[in-house]
Amino acid sequence: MLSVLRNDRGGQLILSVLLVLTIVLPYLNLAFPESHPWHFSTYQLNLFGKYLCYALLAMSVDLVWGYMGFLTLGHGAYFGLGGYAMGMYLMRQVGDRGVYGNPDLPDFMVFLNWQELPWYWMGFNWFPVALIAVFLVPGVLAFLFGWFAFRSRVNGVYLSIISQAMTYALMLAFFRNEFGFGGNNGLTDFKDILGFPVNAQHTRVALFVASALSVIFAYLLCRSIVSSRAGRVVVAIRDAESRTRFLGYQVENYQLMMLVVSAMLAGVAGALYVPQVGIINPGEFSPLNSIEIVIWVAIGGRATLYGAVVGALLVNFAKSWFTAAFPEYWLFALGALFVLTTLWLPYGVAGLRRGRITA
Amino acid sequence: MLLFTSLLFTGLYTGNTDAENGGIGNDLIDQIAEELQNRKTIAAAIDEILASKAERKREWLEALLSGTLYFRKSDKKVVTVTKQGSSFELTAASDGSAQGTAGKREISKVKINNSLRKKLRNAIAEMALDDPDAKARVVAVEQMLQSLDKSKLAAITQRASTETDSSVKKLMLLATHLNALDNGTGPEKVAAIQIIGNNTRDIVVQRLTSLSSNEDPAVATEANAALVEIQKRISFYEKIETVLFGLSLGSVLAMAAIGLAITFGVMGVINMAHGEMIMIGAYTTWAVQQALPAFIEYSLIVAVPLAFIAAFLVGVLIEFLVIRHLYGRPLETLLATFGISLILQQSARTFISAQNVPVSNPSWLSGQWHFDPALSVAINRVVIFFFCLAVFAALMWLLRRTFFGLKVRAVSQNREMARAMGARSARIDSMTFGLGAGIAGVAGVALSQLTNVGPNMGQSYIVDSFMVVVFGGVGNLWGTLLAGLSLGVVNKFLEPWVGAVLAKIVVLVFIIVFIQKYPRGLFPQRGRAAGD
Amino acid sequence: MSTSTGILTNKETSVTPYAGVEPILFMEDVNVSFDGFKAISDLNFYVNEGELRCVIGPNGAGKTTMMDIITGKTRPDSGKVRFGGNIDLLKLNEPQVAQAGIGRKFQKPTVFEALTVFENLELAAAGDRSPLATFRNHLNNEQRTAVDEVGVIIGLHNQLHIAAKILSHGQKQWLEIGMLLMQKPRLLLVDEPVAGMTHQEMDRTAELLIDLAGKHTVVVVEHDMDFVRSLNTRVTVLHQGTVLAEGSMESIQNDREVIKVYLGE
Repeated sequence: MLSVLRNDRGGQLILSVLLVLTIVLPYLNLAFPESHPWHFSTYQLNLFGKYLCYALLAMSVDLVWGYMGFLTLGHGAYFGLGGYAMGMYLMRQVGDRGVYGNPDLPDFMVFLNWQELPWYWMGFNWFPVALIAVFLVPGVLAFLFGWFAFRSRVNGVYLSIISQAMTYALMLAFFRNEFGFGGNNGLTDFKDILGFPVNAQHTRVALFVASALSVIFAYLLCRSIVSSRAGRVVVAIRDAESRTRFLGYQVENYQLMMLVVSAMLAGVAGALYVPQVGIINPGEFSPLNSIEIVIWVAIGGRATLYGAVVGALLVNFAKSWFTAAFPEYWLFALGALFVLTTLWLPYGVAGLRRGRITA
Repeated sequence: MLLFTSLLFTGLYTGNTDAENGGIGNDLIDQIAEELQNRKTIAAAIDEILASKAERKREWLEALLSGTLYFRKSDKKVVTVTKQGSSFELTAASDGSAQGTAGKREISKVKINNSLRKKLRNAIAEMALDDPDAKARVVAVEQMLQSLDKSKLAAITQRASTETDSSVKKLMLLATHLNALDNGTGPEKVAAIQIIGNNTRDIVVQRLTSLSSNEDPAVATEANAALVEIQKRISFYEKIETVLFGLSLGSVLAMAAIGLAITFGVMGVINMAHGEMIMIGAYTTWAVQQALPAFIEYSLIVAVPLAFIAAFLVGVLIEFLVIRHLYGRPLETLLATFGISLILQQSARTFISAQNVPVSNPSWLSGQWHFDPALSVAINRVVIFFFCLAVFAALMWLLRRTFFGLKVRAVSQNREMARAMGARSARIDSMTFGLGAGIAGVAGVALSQLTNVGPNMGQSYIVDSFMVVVFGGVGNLWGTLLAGLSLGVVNKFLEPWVGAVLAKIVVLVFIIVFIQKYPRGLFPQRGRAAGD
Repeated sequence: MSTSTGILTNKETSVTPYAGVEPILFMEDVNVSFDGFKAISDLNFYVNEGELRCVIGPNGAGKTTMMDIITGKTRPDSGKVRFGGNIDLLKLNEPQVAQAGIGRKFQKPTVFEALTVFENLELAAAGDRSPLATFRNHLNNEQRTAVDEVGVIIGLHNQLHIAAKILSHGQKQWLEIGMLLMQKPRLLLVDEPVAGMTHQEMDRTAELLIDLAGKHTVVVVEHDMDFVRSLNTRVTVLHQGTVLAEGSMESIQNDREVIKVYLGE
């Protein structure tokens, strides 16, 4: 599997750094007491873990935007659905430790006077079911979306706006209480994951490691896709769709495959994200969130995969510094990033090194 | 409602000029001053006033009812007062002459209890039946209908025969029929139901509902039949109301979308900051009202051109700084303009306020038009519908009848060819983008009258606007207008079924599926080139 | 069509299939209109196996629309379109048409700019075209040889590993023809292959096309009369969506109807 990195210097670098950090940071956190200067705080580790989820999400966007040319403005939807699937599992693990102490119903359902668990919550107390849902729900949504959109050859700006409308519709839906996902407040106050308390130091370290490994694994998967012949077909579709069609490729099938894989990766990112931040709410579906992902990829450099990882980490660390230092001005900075990147840095940070886009 | 009341009041005070000369019987008030002060004699005193023919009678009763009739201790004169800071300005009740000011202790209020208050109200209403203004008479009859009794009925029937205004007369006759329903014999009831059985007023419906279980089967059947008829009528009116409501929502959608239809349809540029252009227009309205607080009534008329200019300039600036450099790269344009929208939103937050700003509605936009007790329309909604049509007509004129419009259409159809024919496409693009932004600004003025004006107001419009444009068919302004209006109506029809949010979702999902089936919208642009 | 047959004798034989030979491409009574404009009307068009055929006609004669119909891009309102005897092309979409053995070169050269010449040819190579298959498979030896061979044919064997976007206009045209060859199609549809080429390149292209005929069936749509003449083959003239004349270049040039159409009334 590592052979796919043969011609990918950026990937080699990023993955090596990630691998080192995956070992070193948990070690620094666990082996040294808090007072020790070498100690790496659990808070920082958790933050980094969260950003790794964003990196995974950014990679999934790069797959469809960078390689396939579909500027998705709705990937937050897949991320959110993966997150909700995990959130539902975590919610069921609360058991009778909620405020109302009801062993069968999550707190918000008790609050809404619901008598029994809705059918779509069935089985979510069982981790494998949640795990399947993490892949399946975003995958099915992407499949339906793509099946309609690609078949009728919707493309360009239309496709982008439809994808935004999709996540917008989901946001409106999830805000509703009767939808059964906690409405405004979403799902929160989690207790355990797989029997371990979510807030414990060891759990956090494990989640960090899981996120880092997921990023590494997803990177290898994405790289193996884009460097395969199928990947070149996808690039071919991006650059000359009808030419590809006349070569005998069923373009829709390729687009569908890429979108579904990408949505599943986004779902996994969401699932890893939720236990680390301790909450999932409809805000994750907001169009702004989805479009922010795109800018991470743009800044990192699209159609490179490692650019997406770098961009997501870069922008988010910058954001956490910026919002602490000048909370008023973050949106100015983000807005300026959008404008300046598209005007002067079309190939992102990765493009600075290579000077041009290739695939 | 407001209009009627104010007319009523002007009607009430028309007596002033006569009174200045000390009209007939106006001394009465001072003669009975002592009785008014006594709780035990006040009822008799009021009867005395009611029986009198004093010209200022109605004014006294009004003052009594509103608690502004006082008694000056020093000379036992009855006065009406208006509060001026801590002291009171006095006017003589007898002749309306100014009586200087007085402190709180120098005067005492004429106090009345609830039963007197009711009596006064009825007396005033009855007097209003003789008001020379027909509208005031309508209000008076309406008020009496609410709680009909023998004396009121007598007062009304007595005047019905001599009433000249048809709408007043109709109302007065309604009173007699209502009385028949309450107190008439079986056949009288049936006859009354047959006459007023299509009236949608609550007071009629209430009576019919109770009569529908009357022991007289003829009455009950008749009442039931009438109720069905009324129900049909009410639900028909409800449909009309929904359509009108939907049309006004639709005109908002269409107006918000038309600017985008220009930039997207003509230039192929999707402007994600379009919602913020709307925001700029709305903030302009606010700024105009802040700058000219005395002219709220005219603020919108001033704001429309200003909002157009403000948004136009911002649009031209955006085009010059960003869009110009990204032609032919629609997805990048989308991202860059999204960045601009973030900057504009945050500017509103930082430089004005993170909160919504208050924008007031001129009085001529407030209120409702009543067509029937069951059918009334908010005036601002009607105005917005026609405003939308006017904006659309102006735009159509600009594009179809002016040289600028000709060039815009030329550029939109074939950029290269238009350039070869001498159209300076860079300038046309700049103007077109400005035009799209300016129209969004004008839409913002209209929206400021319907929704909150704040930094986030533009955000929700971009998806909606885009949906409208695509639904109507890109490049087709008529399509945009029709799509906006029809989506508005559909939305309003769905709302009672599924609720506002779900209605929005349903419409969104519908459009998503629709676009996937018909990517060129309801009214696609014709021609072979459109197929590629 | 029956109304105009008989004006000139050379057309009578041409618009019906040759006796005894099953045409590889068969179009009969085909009609297409766009919003009331009749782009193709009662078109009958037959091409035999191994033939090299030129299609000419003024702008708007329906040449590109005819190609679109054959390749599944445009659906006719009525008519029959068959390929290789029994394949109903009207039931297939573009990729299926391609897989059935029809290759098409566009008017504007379209190659995959971000990919190398080798990768361009590789994508065109015949084989299973499903996503899973292309994800797993690499080129086999046979395909590798084919790429090298085609590289030589189109004269790009020394530029196999450079990005396609660096190629000259003429080289892109050849690359596109090369991609068609990799598809191993039975029928090649070539839309204006020499647009924007130098005279030298044109001559080479003519050689290439003549060379291809026989092994493949080739239909060339072209504007350039010199080029058509140099192909020295059977020519079909389209006008207002229907066949105006068919025959050798010489006979076409003397056809009064054709002259009228080209020179104006």
